[in-house]
Amino acid sequence: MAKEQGRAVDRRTFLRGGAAAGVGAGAAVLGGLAAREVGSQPLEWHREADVVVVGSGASGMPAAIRARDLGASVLIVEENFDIGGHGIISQGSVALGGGTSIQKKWGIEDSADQVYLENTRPDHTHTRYNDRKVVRAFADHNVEALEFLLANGVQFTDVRPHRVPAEGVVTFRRQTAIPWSQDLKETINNTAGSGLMRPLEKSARDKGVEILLKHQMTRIIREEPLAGRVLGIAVTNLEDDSTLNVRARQAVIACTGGSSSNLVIRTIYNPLLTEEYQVGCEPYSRQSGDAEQQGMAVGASLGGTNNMRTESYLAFVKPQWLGCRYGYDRWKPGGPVFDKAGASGIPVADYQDLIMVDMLGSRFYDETVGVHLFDMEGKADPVFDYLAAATSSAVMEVDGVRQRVGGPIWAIFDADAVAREEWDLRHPFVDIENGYFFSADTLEELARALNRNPYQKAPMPPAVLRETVTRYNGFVDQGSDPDFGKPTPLYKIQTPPFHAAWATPILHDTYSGLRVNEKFQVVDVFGAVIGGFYCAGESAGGFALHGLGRAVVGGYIAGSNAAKEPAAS
Amino acid sequence: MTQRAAGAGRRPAAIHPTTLTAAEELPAEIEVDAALAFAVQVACPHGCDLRGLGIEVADAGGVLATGEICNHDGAANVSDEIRLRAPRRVGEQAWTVRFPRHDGEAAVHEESTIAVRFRTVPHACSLTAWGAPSPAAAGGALPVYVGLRCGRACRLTGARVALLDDAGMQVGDGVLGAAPWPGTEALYWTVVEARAPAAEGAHAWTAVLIDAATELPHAAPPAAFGFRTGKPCEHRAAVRVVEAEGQEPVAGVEVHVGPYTAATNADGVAVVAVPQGAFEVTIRKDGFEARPRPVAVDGDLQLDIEARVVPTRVELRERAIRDFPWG
Repeated sequence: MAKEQGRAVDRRTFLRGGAAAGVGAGAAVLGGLAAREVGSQPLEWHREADVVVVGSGASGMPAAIRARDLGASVLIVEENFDIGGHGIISQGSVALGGGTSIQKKWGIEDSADQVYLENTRPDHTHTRYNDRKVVRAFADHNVEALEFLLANGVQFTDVRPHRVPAEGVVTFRRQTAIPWSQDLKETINNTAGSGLMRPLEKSARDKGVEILLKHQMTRIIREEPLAGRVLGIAVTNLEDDSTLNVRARQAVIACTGGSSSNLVIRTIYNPLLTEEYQVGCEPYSRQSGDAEQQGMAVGASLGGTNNMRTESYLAFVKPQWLGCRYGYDRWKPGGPVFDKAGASGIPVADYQDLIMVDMLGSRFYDETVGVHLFDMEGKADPVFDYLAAATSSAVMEVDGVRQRVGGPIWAIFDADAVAREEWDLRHPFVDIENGYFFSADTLEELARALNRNPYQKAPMPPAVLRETVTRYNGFVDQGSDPDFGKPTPLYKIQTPPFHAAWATPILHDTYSGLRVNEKFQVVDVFGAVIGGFYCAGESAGGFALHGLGRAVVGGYIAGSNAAKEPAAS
Repeated sequence: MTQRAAGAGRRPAAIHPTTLTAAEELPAEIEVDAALAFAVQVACPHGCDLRGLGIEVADAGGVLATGEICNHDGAANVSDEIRLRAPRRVGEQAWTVRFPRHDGEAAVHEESTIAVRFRTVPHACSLTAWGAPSPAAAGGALPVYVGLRCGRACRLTGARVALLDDAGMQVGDGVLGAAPWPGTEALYWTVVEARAPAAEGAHAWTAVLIDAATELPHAAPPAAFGFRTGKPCEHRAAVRVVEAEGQEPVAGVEVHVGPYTAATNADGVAVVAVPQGAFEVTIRKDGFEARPRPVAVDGDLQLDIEARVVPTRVELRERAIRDFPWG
């Protein structure tokens, strides 16, 4: 992390200097400065292709196939041991409409204009800040992208498409892929996302796309450090730590999945999102922020950052599965990353059965809030206030002054709650070994035990937890919660043993990233296109649509345009 | 050890002072009988290697433990970990750590000492109280479970605990039993049979440790707990819950008559003890719902409630994923 932070400081220095130098002058001044100051050195290229795609998820794979279809040689660089990124872990629901063959079959009226208008609605928090040009390009390519998926072997369940009103859309556009198999090794977590990603992988390989696994992009190489077109990338072989320079004769398409896993980038948007907040789909795939970080290092701009508010749908949520580190979705025992996940977690049927406390043992909000981010009509739940409270409730003295510190959120419950919920509190359901689930004879012992969790930055005072529970139990007696308004608190937390389950909010979607134009070309800090550099999926800014549709279409458009780039001389 | 007399023609051994320091400070408070391990450093200004020489830890009564210098880094000499236990009684403690004078062939290393002071305290325990009926009948029986847990998991069978009422007056006591509470490692427990206050309302009582009845001293802060008292439950509300369509009885339903609750049996009947008054009858069972029903209790009563079958919370979540797959 120190290394990453060091690079971040360098970038900030650059951005300050570059912006000052460039006022009123534009990209030419930046290019001139960079060329004089840095100069260029001949590079040794170890690999090359017409188009180099970084990432093999729901954006990278379509980008690669599309560029290959148009005649380019394509190399995919993927940091993981297998392909698919978040796409293969997903539920395989792809929101694509505009009048697709599937919509026509089911008699659903739709058009590109309708896609555009629904995704730029000013009256919905999820759509109102979207970049109109990016959404227009998305809307205009929906039908093509869906037919492209079908042509490349993706099969969808033969049911009428769904919709998720919470996303701001009215029209039924979501179709769900048929899972690739029931094999956990192939599907990673036995979800329908495998039905999207494995067919695309097969098609890509059949068409001659080369996939380089376990290689991470560590640098983007421009003609000059801050000027000229992008020539390729440097990648690190994660097995032997060697570095390869990979030449992209026509373009690099960065599809690294967003920046939710990258502390430096995510705290640009929201400095409260410190290290204790884990990320959905980890530990299989990261939203590494590599596109953003390396792109910004060569002068790229962020774009559409207003979409990256915490109040953005699935960017930051209450975990569905407690007592495990990665509780966004349920990791299934036996899968290839289950050992890293630690446990699959326990679901909460009734939030009356527990209280949530902050790192220092105090309640901070009505626990029953935030189970669903929106109701099905799209009306926002006060979960965003819950999340704001969760990230700011703990106040402690640091360096002699009082500071809000965030920290873990713990679900506290007793033996009676375990019986009511019928929880099995053993591995693999809860993660005792790594410190995400604790049991103790008394509340005081429970508070002390929490110190074993790696993110418990300060001890939870046992007396505070005791006082919190005693006070809450009093609310049960009186039938109301004057502190936080939990509706009629029903059950005391009193019968030993007592338990604490990790319930810290978890990050998921990234809704902003590198600024791109309608071709998904990356734009620099002066508003000029960086030649030979594309970005799509969650690393691309300007569009806050959750899920696979945005990723697929962005990759498809980027691949289409990258393959038409003139080859670098 | 005595200094060897210098022989004829031999130069007398040089006198080297030594400085003893603790490698790590002991805490100011240590629980009685706690296992301790600490190392000390002995420095000689001449950089002498003192490996193999001894260290003593003593109190007023004599030597408690010994150690040996086992590392020399060119400047400092570090002892091995000296292991001993804290005194078994509570109080201020003063130990002396001593590097005894050593007469060597080439040099005499003078004695050095440091004083180690700390306070021994009882084993920290935590008390917990649970199960007090709430609402309890004013003036009626009030059984309260009380458990005591030593942080060092000591066996606390025989310890005496008590309950103090709102005014701090002792209102009951009990002796902890032989086995820990089920599911716990070392929570020794009992049931204190107390009597609820005659006054109706909310009450804040505490459970306290009177006597740990162990050789080693133990202490625990009081554990607060609360309950409400109301009128005696002189009536029986027999509430039968049936599934609305098939009229089949539903077992395992929590029936709430105001704050009074009971669960339905296999026949779908819950018998709830209630006092006179006006209440709302509600039910809770995942997968069922029914509208609240107002009742006026003025004697025993029977009530049928038709519960509608609704999706369970798990079914709702699975349905949400199936019908509205987000990703």
